[in-house]
Amino acid sequence: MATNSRSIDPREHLRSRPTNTFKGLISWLCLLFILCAVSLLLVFAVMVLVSPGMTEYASDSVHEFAGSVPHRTELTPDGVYEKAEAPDLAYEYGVKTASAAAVILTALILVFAFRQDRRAFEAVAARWLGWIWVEAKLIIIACYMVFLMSLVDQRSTELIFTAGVLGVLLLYFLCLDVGRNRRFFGHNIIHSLLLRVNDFHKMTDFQQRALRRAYSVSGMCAALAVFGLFGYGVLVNILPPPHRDKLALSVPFIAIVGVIGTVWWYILSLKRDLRDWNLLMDQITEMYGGNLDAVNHVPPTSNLYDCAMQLNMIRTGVQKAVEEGTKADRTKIELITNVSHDIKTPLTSVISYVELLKKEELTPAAKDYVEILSQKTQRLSVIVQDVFEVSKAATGNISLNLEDLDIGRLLRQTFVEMEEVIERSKLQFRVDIPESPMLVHADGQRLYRVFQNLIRNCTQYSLPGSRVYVNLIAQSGIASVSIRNVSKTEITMNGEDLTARFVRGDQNRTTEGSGLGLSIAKSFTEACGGRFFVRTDGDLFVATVQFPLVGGEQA
Amino acid sequence: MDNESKNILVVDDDREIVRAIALTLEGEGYTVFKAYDGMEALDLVSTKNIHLIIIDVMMPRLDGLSAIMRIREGKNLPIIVLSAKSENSDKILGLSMGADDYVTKPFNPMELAARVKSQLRRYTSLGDINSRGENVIINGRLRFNLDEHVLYADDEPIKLTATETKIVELLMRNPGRIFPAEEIYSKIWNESAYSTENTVMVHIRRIREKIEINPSEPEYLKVVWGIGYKFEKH
Repeated sequence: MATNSRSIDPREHLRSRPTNTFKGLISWLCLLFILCAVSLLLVFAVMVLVSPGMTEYASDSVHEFAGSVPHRTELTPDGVYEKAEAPDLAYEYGVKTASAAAVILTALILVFAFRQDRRAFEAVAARWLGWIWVEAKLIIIACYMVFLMSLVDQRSTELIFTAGVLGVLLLYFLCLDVGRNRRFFGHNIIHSLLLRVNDFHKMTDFQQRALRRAYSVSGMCAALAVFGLFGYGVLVNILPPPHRDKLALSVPFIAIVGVIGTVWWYILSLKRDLRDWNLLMDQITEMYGGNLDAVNHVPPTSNLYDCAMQLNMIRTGVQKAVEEGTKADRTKIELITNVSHDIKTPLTSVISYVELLKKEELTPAAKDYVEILSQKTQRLSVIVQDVFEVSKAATGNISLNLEDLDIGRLLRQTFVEMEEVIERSKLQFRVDIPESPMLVHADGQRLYRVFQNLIRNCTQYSLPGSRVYVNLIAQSGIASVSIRNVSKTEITMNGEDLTARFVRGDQNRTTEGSGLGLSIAKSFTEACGGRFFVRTDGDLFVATVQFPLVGGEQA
Repeated sequence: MDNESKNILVVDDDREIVRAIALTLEGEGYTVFKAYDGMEALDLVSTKNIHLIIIDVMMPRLDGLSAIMRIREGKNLPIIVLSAKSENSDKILGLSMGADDYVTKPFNPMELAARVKSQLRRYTSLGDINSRGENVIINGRLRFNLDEHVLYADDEPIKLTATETKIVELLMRNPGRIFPAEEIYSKIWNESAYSTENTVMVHIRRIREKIEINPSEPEYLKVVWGIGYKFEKH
């Protein structure tokens, strides 16, 4: 149903349609009935006119109609109305004629009452007729003609009536067809064949080849079967007796071998196609997984060669686009680097003069201001440094010093280094790090920065007095450090957003920090080959750092 | 030591930075000469008796690194490089060109002053110590006297506890070697380590705060993350 017909009640629409068709069908059947009746009457009339000898039969059939034994001698051509001859007969005539008339009248009323619906139904019927080839129609007409011819010699009245009814119906259908369908002669077998051929040419190469192969295989099998049967039949009849059966059987045997060979060849070619499909699907899966270096090596003889080559070209295109995107990203980050460079020089002056100012004799208020300046310049300095770090990490421009190290020990070292920060925060750290070494392959300095940032994050954004849980576990070859804390402000962002650059949990950005902490942690972890993710659950904030353990599962 | 007698050349194309550094150093009692590009710096080095140079890398006419190479051809004096580039490769390049120290912008002027002091001490005292014939381990600005069991940084004795002194001695005797915490523990406390990693770590952090100019970026007592600790050789 069209979407724009929403204004009309769709149910009403649905209800009205079948009723129409039903009415149309009823009306149409009534029309056919009337046509049959009229044709019968016509045939009857013609018979009476043409051969007076038929009167007897006519009266017979009328009597038959009335359901009584005919009285031949007393009947006239218009004996139907002669009630005097047989009063009881006349009564029955009356009843039956009346009922027949009633039926016909009802039919007529129906025909005219549901005119519109009938026309609609006729259109449908005409469409069905349109599907039939003109050749078939001509054959039906020809058959009817032959049937008529054969009637000349026979005097079977049933057949004549049948012929009459059939003729009228045929005429009706013919009129319907010619009147409604413009392409009466256009829809013929040759035309349809040409259309088929055309369709075949419109198919894609692959489909065509596959179909042609299937057709030729089935054709070959059919031909071999015919050859086998026919050859056997011929040989059995013409060969001399001694080795007749054996020799004759050799032909179907050869045919069977041929069929098996053909089918075998077909299966092999299908298998080849499947293998190539598989290659393509593998490549698509790989590319979907992010590996743009995946190239397929479908042989040039394959049915899928064109498709495979195009997929390879798409891959190249996508790779190029990705590279260009990366390049653009790099340019952007180079810009940040340059800007942060340009910020550093004036910042150096600011810091230096603030330090000099601190040594001057100042009023208490001025001292206070200078202290604020000093703090803010320090923070600015940290931000600039962080921007620099993050842009380097994001461009992959950091030199890594990867080595096997004990992540548990690194965490303990981190906690010792950050003791002061942690003590100042008044938070309780619940640290659970197993004693047994867990070796991971990473850059220790960067990894320290990761945990430093995460712990600093906790000290800045945790609910005062709350507990921070840090634990390290080894599970299925992966060392996983999770740091959980309760945020002091509501976290309105999801984890993904929090790791974006310059995003901070507190939207008003009043707290310390550059807003780069998590971003740096993420970039560094990923640069070292680990995984970093942040999850929030209400006010609970969970940061997880994962690294594959060196040597798989241990500890 | 008398800072009055020390002439320091500050070279940067940013006049305000030069002025700020000059003010800071003059506050410490040094005599400061100013130059605003590499050529001026070379002129001053050849005409004045300069004891230390603070020089920026990116400058017009003659950049800092080229200037250092030229200066190094004739003179042996401490050079501190200033740069906005903080990458390790830049640092290594600067040091390999003949610089003695590398300070990245933005820097804290007080830290710069501390580095100046350290460099001057090293350059002036190197000769005497060797002639004194003491039993010492020298590493950059640090000197550990094995007879007295005292650590000197820039010729000034550092107050260390007995345990800290033992750790420093152990590490300074093996510069560059990485010691896991439990090894340090077993060697100093003469017991096998059991859950004592933190003890050692805390000691190391305290030592670092005493001997490093900038404890958050240690130059000598370094953490080898996830492995142990080592004393960097300078």
